[in-house]
Amino acid sequence: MLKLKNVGKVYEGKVAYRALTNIDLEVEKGEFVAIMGPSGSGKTTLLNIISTIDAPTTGSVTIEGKNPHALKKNDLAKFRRRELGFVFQDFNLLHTLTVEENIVLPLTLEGARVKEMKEKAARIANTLGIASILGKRTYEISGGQAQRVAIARAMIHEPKLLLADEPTGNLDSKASKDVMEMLASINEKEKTSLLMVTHDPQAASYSDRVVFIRDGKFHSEIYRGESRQAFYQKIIDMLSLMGGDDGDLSSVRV
Amino acid sequence: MTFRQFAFNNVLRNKRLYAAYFLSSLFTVMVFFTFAIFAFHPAFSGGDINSNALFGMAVAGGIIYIFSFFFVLYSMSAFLQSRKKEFGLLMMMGASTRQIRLMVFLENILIGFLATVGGILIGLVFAKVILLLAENVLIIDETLHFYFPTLAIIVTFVSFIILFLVISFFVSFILRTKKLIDLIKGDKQSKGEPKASVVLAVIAALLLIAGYGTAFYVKGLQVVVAMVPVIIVVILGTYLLFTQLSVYIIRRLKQNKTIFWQKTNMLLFSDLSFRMKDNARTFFMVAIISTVAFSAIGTLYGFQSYLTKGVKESSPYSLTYLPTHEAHEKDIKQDVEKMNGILQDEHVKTVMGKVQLRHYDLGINDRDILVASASDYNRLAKLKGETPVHPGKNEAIVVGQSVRVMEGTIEKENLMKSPIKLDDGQEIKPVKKIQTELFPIINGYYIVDDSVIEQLEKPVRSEPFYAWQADNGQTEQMIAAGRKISKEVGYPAQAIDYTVYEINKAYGPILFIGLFIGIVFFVSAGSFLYFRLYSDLDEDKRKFRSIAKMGLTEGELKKVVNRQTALMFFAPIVVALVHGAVALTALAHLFNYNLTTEAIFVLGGFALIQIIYFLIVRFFYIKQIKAAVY
Repeated sequence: MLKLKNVGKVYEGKVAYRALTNIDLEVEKGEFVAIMGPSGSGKTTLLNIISTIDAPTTGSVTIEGKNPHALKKNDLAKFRRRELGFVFQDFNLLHTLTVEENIVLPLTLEGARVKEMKEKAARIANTLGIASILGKRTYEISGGQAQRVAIARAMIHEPKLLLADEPTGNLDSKASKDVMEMLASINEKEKTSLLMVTHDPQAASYSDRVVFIRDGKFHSEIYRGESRQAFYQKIIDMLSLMGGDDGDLSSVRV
Repeated sequence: MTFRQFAFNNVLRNKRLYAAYFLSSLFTVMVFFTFAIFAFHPAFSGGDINSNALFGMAVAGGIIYIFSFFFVLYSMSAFLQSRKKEFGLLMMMGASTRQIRLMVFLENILIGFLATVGGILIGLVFAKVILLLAENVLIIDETLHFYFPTLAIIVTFVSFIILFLVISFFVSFILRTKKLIDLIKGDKQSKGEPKASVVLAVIAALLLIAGYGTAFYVKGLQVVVAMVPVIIVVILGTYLLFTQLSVYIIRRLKQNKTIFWQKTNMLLFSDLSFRMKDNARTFFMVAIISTVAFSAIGTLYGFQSYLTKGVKESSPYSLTYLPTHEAHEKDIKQDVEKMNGILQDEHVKTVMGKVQLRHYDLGINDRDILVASASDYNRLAKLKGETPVHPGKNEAIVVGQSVRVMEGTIEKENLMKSPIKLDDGQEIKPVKKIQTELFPIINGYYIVDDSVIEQLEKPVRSEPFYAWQADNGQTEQMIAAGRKISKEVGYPAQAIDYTVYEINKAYGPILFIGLFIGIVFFVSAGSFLYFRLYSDLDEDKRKFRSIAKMGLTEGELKKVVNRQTALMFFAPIVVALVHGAVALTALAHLFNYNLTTEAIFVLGGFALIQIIYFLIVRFFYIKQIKAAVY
């Protein structure tokens, strides 16, 4: 459903900087893909290009056969609103709104009926275990709750592709585990395709496939077998091979 | 939650962010409204103020309105800039540009409506104060009673709803959609330093020097010709001063490690250069707007003092009477009796002096020249408490041309070199020259011993001059007496207090309007600074919180914040004060009239207000930062 062909990105400036080179990537419908790599390897740039926040310099991106970068501004807005969902490292909830209002925001922009929005919000809040905090403001809830709210917001309009940028980056291990289990179950139940950028091998081990990139280039990929534990070990090994220590990938800085 | 609810909640729950924008809008509405209350006062439609003043008020209203427009527009764009990230986030979730515009539009309508209503309400509360103030500045016979300003409310309401509507449409231009990634990273990007080039910095200095030089050099009517080019040159120079010269100086300071790495200097300078682009623009605007305010008020105040002082100098007595040449002796006598009667009725204690103004054809300077008798002169001298003169039998004392004489009409021949020739061949030699305004004559004249007058031939013309001097502290009575006298005797009689009163009365509305506009400009300059400062508040809090963790004492924090704010408040104002001083000097040259006192008074007044404003703002700013840090 998502297809990247020869995607490259060059940041113009006094010294032009090549962030991505010839990336080819395909994500099947219902697949959960994690992208890993050291700091500065171009992970976030790649995600930004897929999420239409940034435009590629070369190559093409197609989502469900459509090239979102070729869409007109208004169509692009509608495309994002209907087909894509986003989860960020720092949650990016609007602090002027309550939890519930944050969750229904994509539907509000679409102009859905209030009753329908209420129902959907209640349902998804139940699934994610945040029903009790729907009336609260964003500064009254914990980080783990905030990320679940962000996931609810990203999921409420049933997007075809969910994009997550370091969703566990600001969470402790317990909250990380909860959030990842939630994402995995959404992926499984709703058949939503999921693309996640992460540093965290624990988080990555929930995916079906991990793609490693380094210095803006495709490095390798590994598939998950039967056991998540074994997959986790493989990821750790791959990271060490790429030059990082087990828990610390920041030794390779550009 | 529908989209409209979303837009409204966004405003209502985020009051602090919107507060600055709201308050500036509120302030603008309030100013316009108080002006409208004043301009639409029933006392004026009654016709006590002439149509010129009414026209002036309409123009002033227009200026305030146009200025409000730009002021609100500026506040709004500054406000929207700080919300880039929010817009980016909404767009990521699929908000179309149209929806974001709609949201900002709705917000603006909401804020605009609340600001309009709020501004009118606050204006109503202060209406009485404004009217009282107006009553004192303007000299109006009837008092400006409080009234319910229906018309002013309607005009203000309609004008500002239209203004906010139009500005809301302008949003489209401000929100030119940039790349989404720029919006999302908007709050992390520094605008940084503008490019500083040595050439432009030198040009800045040259432009200012050229502008100032011209302003000081030109005299008289040249000032009018030079005005527009000088203004343009100085504005350009000021812009470059803030965008180039200041950046250049900061760069140099940063390169000098002994200064830059000296204690808290590093914090101060790095911060300055980081915000220089925003600061330069604000500084420039504040400097120019303040200059306009200073010059406008200084000019009006100077002009008033020029007019009243001129009148007072031309006639030093409380009341004078100089009949026309054709007046009969009988009429003169009647007039004088009438005036004495009025003075008595008003219980004014006066001393009267009468002299005869005899003009002779002496063959000097192609005109008839006054020759006054010493006894006449001494009589007037006694009235004013000046030293009497005693010329000898064949001596004359010369009184020089009045200082009020315009350049270019200075007499060709000095009276000192021209003796008076009597019929019998005798010559009366001028022995000394004095300067006095005792006689109502602007050209030079002679004072001779009484016996000489008898020896002169018949004067070409001769008329009496009466002068009254009232004891001090009787201004009120003299104004009352003056009013009656001007009614009953007319032009030949002049009561100085009444004339000054009339000038002030005619000039009052202009002065008031000028003051009003000047103050509007000055206060909005102040609020520009306030916005600038408070848009950095969160950043400052974050910065000082992290620095405090490394160990920054309260004293050091205070010092840094103090310098930072002081620079912000005084850099543009000092420039504006210098500009204002130069402008007033040029004005003084135009009228050939010394404005030093007035300039010091006006500029000093503004400087003082700015210092007080600075102290207040600094107090709250430091308090807020300290609360966040410690």
